[in-house]
Order: sequence, then structure tokens, then C-alpha cells
Amino acid sequence: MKLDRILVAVDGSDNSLGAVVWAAGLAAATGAEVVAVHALGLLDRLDGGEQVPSQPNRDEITRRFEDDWCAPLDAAGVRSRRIVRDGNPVSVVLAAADDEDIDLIVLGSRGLGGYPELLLGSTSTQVAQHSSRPVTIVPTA
Amino acid sequence: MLVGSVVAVDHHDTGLGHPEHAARLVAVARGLDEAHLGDAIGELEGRAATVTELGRVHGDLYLDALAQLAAAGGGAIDPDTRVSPGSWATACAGAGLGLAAVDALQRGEAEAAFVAPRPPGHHATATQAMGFCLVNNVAVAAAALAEAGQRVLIVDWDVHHGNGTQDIFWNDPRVLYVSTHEWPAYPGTGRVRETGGPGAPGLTVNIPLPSGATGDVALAAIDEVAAPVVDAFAPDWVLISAGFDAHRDDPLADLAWSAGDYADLTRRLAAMAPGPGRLIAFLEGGYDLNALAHSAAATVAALAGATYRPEPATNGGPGHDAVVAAARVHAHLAGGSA
Repeated sequence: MKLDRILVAVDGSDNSLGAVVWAAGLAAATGAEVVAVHALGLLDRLDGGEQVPSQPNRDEITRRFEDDWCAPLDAAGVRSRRIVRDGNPVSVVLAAADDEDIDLIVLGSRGLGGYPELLLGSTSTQVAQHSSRPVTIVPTA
Repeated sequence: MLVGSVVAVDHHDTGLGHPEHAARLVAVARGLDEAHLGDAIGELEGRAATVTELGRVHGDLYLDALAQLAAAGGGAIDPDTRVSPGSWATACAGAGLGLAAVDALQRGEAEAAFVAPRPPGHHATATQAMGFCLVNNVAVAAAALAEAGQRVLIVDWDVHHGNGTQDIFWNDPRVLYVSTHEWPAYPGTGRVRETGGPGAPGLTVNIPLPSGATGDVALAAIDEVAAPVVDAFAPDWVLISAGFDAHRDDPLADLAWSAGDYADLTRRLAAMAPGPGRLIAFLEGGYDLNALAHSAAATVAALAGATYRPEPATNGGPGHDAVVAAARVHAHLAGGSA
């Protein structure tokens, strides 16, 4: 079984932090590279609080993603890359997984929103539904 | 001309701090008042779009899910896109405005129409709400026209690429989709090389513009890239996805247009309609309330054949090279199919 590259979806929430830590642990144990991906929507959260427009804050959001939200990857000493893409989280994660030939997608169990019982699933359930690649969903600690 | 709005039945609540909120439609109404257009504009009587009409572009399961989510109290579909208990009815009324405008123009009641639904629609795909959008208002009207045998041009000048509209008509030879938008920006689609599916080659025209692009660049995009494709396509109807977030004051994006530019763009696009009564503009984005008020009023005035320019047109910004690149791609496609 090949596990060269792990994609982890990162949105700066505590929930996604858990996924980053879990992916870092798996990468440390297997020698895989981690590709961290952040989807830049119309709005984003810089401090986990109020939403701000993404476009005028691209540089600051990118800096926080690379330096702060992905810090557990560096702490674990694993090989990693950071990718920011415009779009909604589901399309961005699925497209990046294809482009980077990812072996495993890792996401937190619950970000903002999502109603699986109404077919308007959360990012994690939609990615799991539509991905042709293995997906691991990390529950909130 | 006719103006329709869901402002009186707007129960789509996106919550505190969200930039796509009910005051936007109030601002549009204020802008029109300030323009003093008088008898040049009349009120369009709206109606709700039916599930069958929405179903021309959206999946049944998706529409059921949206209606059920609203009925269950609503919530966030993604970090950008929210639903409240009143969202479903408001969205149906919004999409119905475009259909009512088509009917009224076909009855010869006016030469053009402007409709203001909420929320905007152009990011909504057949099965996915995103980017504040739930149902694709312009696509619902275009699909109704296409089903009636009409050829439809959609020009989308919202600052964001209309990925939903592009997806819906990607392979449909009855609809020509033209978009100017900031690049890079949400939703990450709309590259020059996205030119349509095998069933509609060259009938998707994307002109991505760099941050800071001014109105003269937008006009060049229409004149140098879109116009030759539109001439060859010969539309029966011209629909405009009229977001006003490319305005220089908009908080969500970085293009540098003004209300005067929207007046100029509107005149250019009105000239692409084959005759009177074949021109409808649909409100999409636009999040600075004053910019929205001025720009929407300048657009409505131009649709009515009047002059209202609360701000002069802009020029001198970057982006001419992007226009040249897009023109080259579409000239090549036209040459290749000749």
C-alpha cells in the first residue's frame, strides 16, 4: 500500500487543528509528506471569530495558515507543503487531491455547517461521499 | 423599463455581520429614488418560480434539501452560505422575478428590465449552494428562454466568476456565457482556457482581470473579446449578471470600477440585443451600500435610455494584456471552427 502523500484540510478552527496533529503523527510514523490545503472562500476567520472578507486579507490569511494553523507539521518534523486555493472547501479539497496525487485525505469531523440528513453535508461528509481516494475523518477531541 | 425587487418579501436572513444582507435591496431602492428617473421606470410585478421552473437548472434532490433545510430552521451550508427559515420562499420569489420579466417583455410591456433578487445566484451550480448563492436566478430565466427555442447571451460582470452559470450551460449551444472577473479570486474558476464543452465549443468566454483593473479595461474586454463571439452567436436575448462588487469601494474585492463604468457597460450590452424588449439585468453581488446604490441606479438609467452618472468612468488601470490574451484565444477558436 502506498502512502507517499497525505492531504490535510485546514481552516484554522480547533477542529481542523486536531486533523493537522493527527496527519502529522501519521506522517511521522510512515515518512509520508503532508500537503496542507486551505480553501479561500468569500469570507474567512482570522481569529476564529468574526468573518472577514477573504480577498483583501489574502496575504494575512495565507501567513496565518502557513505559520500558525500548520505549526504542528513543523513541530512534528515532517515533510510538508502548504497550498491556498480559491473556492469552497469541498471542491478545493477534491481538486487538490487529484492534482497532487494524494493517497489519503484527512479532515476534521465538523467545520462550519453541514446537514447530512438533508443531503447538504458538511465538508467532511461531502468529501467522503465524492472522493475516489481514501478519506480519514478525525473526530473533535 | 421595468424594475422588480424582492425587497418587500425579503426574509433571507444571513445573520449578524454577513455582507450579503437585506439592506442591500434597500440601498438599490434608495439609489433609484436618488436618480429621479420618474416615468422612465415602472414596477415589475413578481411571482414565485415553481419547482418545475427551478428544476430546469437544479436537481430535484438539491431543491428538496434546500426547502427542507429552510423549513427546519436553516443554518450554514458552507462558511460563506447561509439559509434561514425564510430563505426558500425568498429565493423562489427572486428566481421568479426573472421569469416575470421575461413574460412582461414578451408581452411588449417594456424595452428592458432590472430585477433584484436575494440572495445572488451565479455561484449556485445544479446541485451545490455556494458563495452566498442558493438558486441560480439568471440561469433559471436563461433555461426557460432556451427551452422556448431562444438563443441567450449571458454577460456576467460581477467581480467573481459565475462558476454556477458556467457549469450549467457549459455544454449547451443555446447559451453563450461571457464573464469578466478578478483573478485570482473566489471561486478559483474562469480561466481564459475554459471555453465550453464539446457541445458548445467557444461558447464560454472568460476574461480574468488583475487587481486594480479600471472600467476602460472592462469595456475593452467587451469590445475586443466578447463582441466578435456575440456577433457570430446572434443572441435573441441579452441577460446581464449585474454584480456591483467590481466597484472600487467594494469590501470583498479589488477591481476599480465606478458607477459611470456600469452605465457605459450597460449601453454596450444593450446594443447587443436584437431589438427592444430583449434585455434583462439581474442583481448579483455588490456589498458597499453606497457603491451599490449608485451603480445599480446608473445601470437602470442606462437600461431606460437615460443618463445618470453619479461618478465619472474610470481608466488607466492594469489588465489590457489580459484582454489581449483572451481575445487571442477566442479569435483562434473562431478561426478553427470556420
